[in-house]
Amino acid sequence: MKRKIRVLSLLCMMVILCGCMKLNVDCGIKKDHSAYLTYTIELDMKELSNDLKREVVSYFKEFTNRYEEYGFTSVTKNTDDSIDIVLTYQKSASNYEEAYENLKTMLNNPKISFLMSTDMTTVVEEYEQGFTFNADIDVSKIIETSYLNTLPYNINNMISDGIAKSEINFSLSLPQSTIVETNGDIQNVLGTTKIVFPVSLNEESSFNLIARMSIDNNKAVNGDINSLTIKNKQIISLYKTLIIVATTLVVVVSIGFVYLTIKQKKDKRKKA
Amino acid sequence: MKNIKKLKTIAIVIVLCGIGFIFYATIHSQNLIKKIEQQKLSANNIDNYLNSIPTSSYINTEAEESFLLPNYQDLEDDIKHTYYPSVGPTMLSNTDQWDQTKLKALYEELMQNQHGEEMNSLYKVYVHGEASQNAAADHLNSNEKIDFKIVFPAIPDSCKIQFKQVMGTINLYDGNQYTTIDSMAFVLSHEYGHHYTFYYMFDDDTTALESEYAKLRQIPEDKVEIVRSAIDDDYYINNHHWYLQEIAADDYVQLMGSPTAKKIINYSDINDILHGASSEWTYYSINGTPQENFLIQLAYETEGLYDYYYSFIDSNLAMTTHQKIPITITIQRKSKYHELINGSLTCIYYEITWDKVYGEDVVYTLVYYDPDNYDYVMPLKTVYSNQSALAYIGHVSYETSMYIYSQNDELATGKKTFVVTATFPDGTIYKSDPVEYNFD
Repeated sequence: MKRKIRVLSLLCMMVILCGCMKLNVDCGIKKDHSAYLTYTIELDMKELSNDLKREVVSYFKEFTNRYEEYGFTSVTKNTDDSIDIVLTYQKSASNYEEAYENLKTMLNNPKISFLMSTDMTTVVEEYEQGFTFNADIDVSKIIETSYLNTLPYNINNMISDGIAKSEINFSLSLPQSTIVETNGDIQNVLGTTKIVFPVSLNEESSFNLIARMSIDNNKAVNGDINSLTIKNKQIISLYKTLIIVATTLVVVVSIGFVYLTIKQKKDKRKKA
Repeated sequence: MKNIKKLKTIAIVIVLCGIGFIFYATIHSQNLIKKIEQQKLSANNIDNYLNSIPTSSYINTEAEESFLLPNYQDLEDDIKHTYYPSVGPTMLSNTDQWDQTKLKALYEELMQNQHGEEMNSLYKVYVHGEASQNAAADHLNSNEKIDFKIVFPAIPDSCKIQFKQVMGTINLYDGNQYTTIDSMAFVLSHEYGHHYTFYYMFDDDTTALESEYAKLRQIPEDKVEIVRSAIDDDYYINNHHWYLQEIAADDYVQLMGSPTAKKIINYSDINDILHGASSEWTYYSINGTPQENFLIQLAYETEGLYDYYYSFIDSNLAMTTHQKIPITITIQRKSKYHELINGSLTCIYYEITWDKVYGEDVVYTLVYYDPDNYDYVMPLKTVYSNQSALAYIGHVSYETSMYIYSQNDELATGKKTFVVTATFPDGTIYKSDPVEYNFD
């Protein structure tokens, strides 16, 4: 009936506060036909205990090592209070169609992509390319199935607080394109069209995009196809005007030439 | 003449350039017209393509499968059932007698014990099916390494964050025998008492003697024990009731225990059993064994202890003070003679009576212990409001027209000390002064 007790000294409870993370997932196609997938991770560790900082650094080191094995290049900047990591995977191609297929392969690879589903298609015509992109990501499910509730309450709380303060964005970039439809924010910067999709931490997030890109000689060109057509029509119209002007000029100059020739002959006769 | 020649030359150049430009512009215009047609064609084709809602679906089945995997935690191999509440400890068992439903009920019972932030540092409550040689249960504070890991195909399996924390674990043994919440509640409350008192009151070292708790409790210095010997288990077991941490955990049950932990148990004496009383016997109870050590005051009898225990948490419970009144215990030796077909039978028994000094609402329980070699207290008889304050020990009997029935509890031997506990409806418990009796 005796109760046995083995007690270690109760040390001060380790106070570990939460750190927050910013994750940007950027993918897309560059003007030079290369497809890329980049993870930019910024972790603020100011409020973490030293023990936990070491754990977090080790976590991301392991993460980076594995992604390097998958072909990513990495840049890590580590200070006492923060970690910034940029992981990039890039693959070149000879045309945009192939580039889009490469992007699709990256985003459909479960080892390097966090998307739960994708639906990506493209078609290439001589002067225009069309893209469709639909994808889902479910961070809430990832968090839910990490079973935070199996952890002690304060650790669970700490991680949950950290997650709540964190921010995730997913963006897809294309050489300057016309966006037909999207649920993201469109940014046009230096000949690139970037669509930024905020990722919800509490529910499934869906991204959709329909885009078209004007091309000429296998290179993306600025402007949509209608404006390019109008521009060409304007050039044709200008040419027509110039042809009339040139024709008139040729006729006038020719008349002048004939006049000068006659005058020259008359002058020769007078002298003779 | 020279000027005319020059003018004619310029005219020829202009005409040639003009013709050249007209030729170029015409060709280029033709090309642009063709290009416009092709651009229109491209645009139409893209329009048609985009309007047809093309699909090329991919589902991340590996991720979906990872969501279905059992939760990640390094559990001991023999864990059979788990319950993970949103707040508080993980509930585990290695026996089918304690499945998830019962673990959930046990968790709810645990939460009925008064608690504060210290609950967050209780990591696990583990119900073992098997009995332990030395313990009904134990509480252990240890440096736990807790892994957090996100199971997802895009996150390398080796990525995990380890948290190191001092966390408490409660082990409850003999879960195959004790299969109800009622039967576990008292022990659970006692073990949680260890968790509570170690969190707020003292460490497991000699500094505990200088704690506020030790000062309030005033355990005789020559008796009190603090640090358990690592090599002498027998000494520990024999003096268990003098360990400060055990006294403090017992005080927790009395002052802060759950209603179920403080449920009154109806103990029957030998006379009740002879007359067919059903046995509800459970050793641990608030009225029979409010604390292991009956040689010291009960928790409610110790001045300042209630306020001290409640000073660490927010609670609306206010102590009702009852005046302590002496209870007089009287022991009478009696005998009953029965004639048998072949001889006779004399039954020697003892009637133990006391005054119901606190009135009828209070439940009285007679307990006894060995005064020469105190080890534990044993409950004997519970008396409710509608019952007389009377208990029997020894050889009791009664006759019918056909038979003589008798039963002997073999307790009327040697020296025994009797005490009556009085349990008030609000949970306050007092005890009488001890009365020693020599049956030899």
